[in-house]
Amino acid sequence: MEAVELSSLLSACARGDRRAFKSIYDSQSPQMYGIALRITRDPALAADALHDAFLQAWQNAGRFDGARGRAEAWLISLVRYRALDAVRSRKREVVTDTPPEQVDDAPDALTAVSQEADARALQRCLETLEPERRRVIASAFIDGYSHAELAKRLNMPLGTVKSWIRRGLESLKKCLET
Amino acid sequence: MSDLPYDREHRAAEYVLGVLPVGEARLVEREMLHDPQLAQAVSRWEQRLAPLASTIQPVTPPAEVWARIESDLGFEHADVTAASAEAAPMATEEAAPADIEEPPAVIVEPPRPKPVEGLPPWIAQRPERPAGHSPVVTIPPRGLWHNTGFWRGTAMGGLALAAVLAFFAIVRAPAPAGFHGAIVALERPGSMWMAETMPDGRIKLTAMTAIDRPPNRDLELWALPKGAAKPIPMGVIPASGVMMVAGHDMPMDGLQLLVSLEPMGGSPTGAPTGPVMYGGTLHPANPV
Repeated sequence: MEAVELSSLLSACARGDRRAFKSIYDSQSPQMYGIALRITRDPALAADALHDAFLQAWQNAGRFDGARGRAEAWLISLVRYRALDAVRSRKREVVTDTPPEQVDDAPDALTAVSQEADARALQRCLETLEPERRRVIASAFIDGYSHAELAKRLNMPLGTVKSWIRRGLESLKKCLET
Repeated sequence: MSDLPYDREHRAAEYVLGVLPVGEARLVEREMLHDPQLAQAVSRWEQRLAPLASTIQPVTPPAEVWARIESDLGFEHADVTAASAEAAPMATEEAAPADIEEPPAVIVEPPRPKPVEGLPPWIAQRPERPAGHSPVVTIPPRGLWHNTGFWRGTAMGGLALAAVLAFFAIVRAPAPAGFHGAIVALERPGSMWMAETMPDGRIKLTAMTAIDRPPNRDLELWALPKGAAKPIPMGVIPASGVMMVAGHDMPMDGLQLLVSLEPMGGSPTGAPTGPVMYGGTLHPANPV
């Protein structure tokens, strides 16, 4: 779905248009559910996160400002926060015997990123990071790991993980602003 | 707290990335309520990082999720297929031609609150969840009690619910039959009030800790049963911190109790006029 169209549909939702809302659900929910599944690893929690995100989307559709960014990113954020909340309250087990090579999908992630301008810019900037830092950031976002979980998985000190992420995010920001 | 120095940009990025532990994430959410620059930074990071999510394989969700959404929002199945008289032109073109035959949809939602500049959109209201999910904080830090600029910014006329709502479900206390819930804010771990239903149908509120309140203000209790559009005034919470209110035969399961900051004596209008500071949800008490 085109970004402009999604934004129009959200405006329609703000006016109470249920059909527009269903359209958004039909087009966006598979991606959103996939994201929630990836973070929660639990279909029931993922379903809850998706449900909650859409309730928020309906109730707050009027607050979304198309000038501020893409509606897709907004919706993705809604479901990510719900999924992250679900796993944080549940304190999921972190598998520590997984070798670091399997921690991330970074090489796949980079090639699969879509062709839109935003995505291309992010891809380009991610590539400027050292592979380990890129992996840590991608893994944090995609898998929803906290600082502590990343430190455990990678068998690194917590301070180092935090520092890597900060530096990595700083570099990304600088790069994206050029 | 993080050992690295505070930096708004870092906080926003880490929050969006999802690496913060629960407590810190809640603090960022609270800070966003009175720091529009932080809220905007969060929005910008959401936009920057979102493309990463497109690497994740989409998965068709179970059909029951949509059914639940429809049910919770009060949609009837038939209405979903009705064309809206106000639908954006693009949306209509996208629609299946067969749907055009339907009569115009009834616009069912009440007028939307005006967007508040700088607040992330989702922060207006979190949906209720069954037991075990995270709180949203609304209480401002103590230093802001006497800051009139803050109150001007956060108090909203009419239905203050739209601005800031806090939902919680921290209910695992073993108790006999009935409903109960914890009414909480983030600033201190643990509950501010315990709410419980009594056998005679009344709701009892018990303060668990000293409640901060600024001069010339009262804290007023409101009840919002599941599916209700307007909160029901339950009265000003006395200084003693213990309060018994009539249940009015409201359905207790999922009932939200909200506490707003009002002028002395409570809201003059019958609706919250000040910000909602604390909240909680009643759930069936489970014997352990």
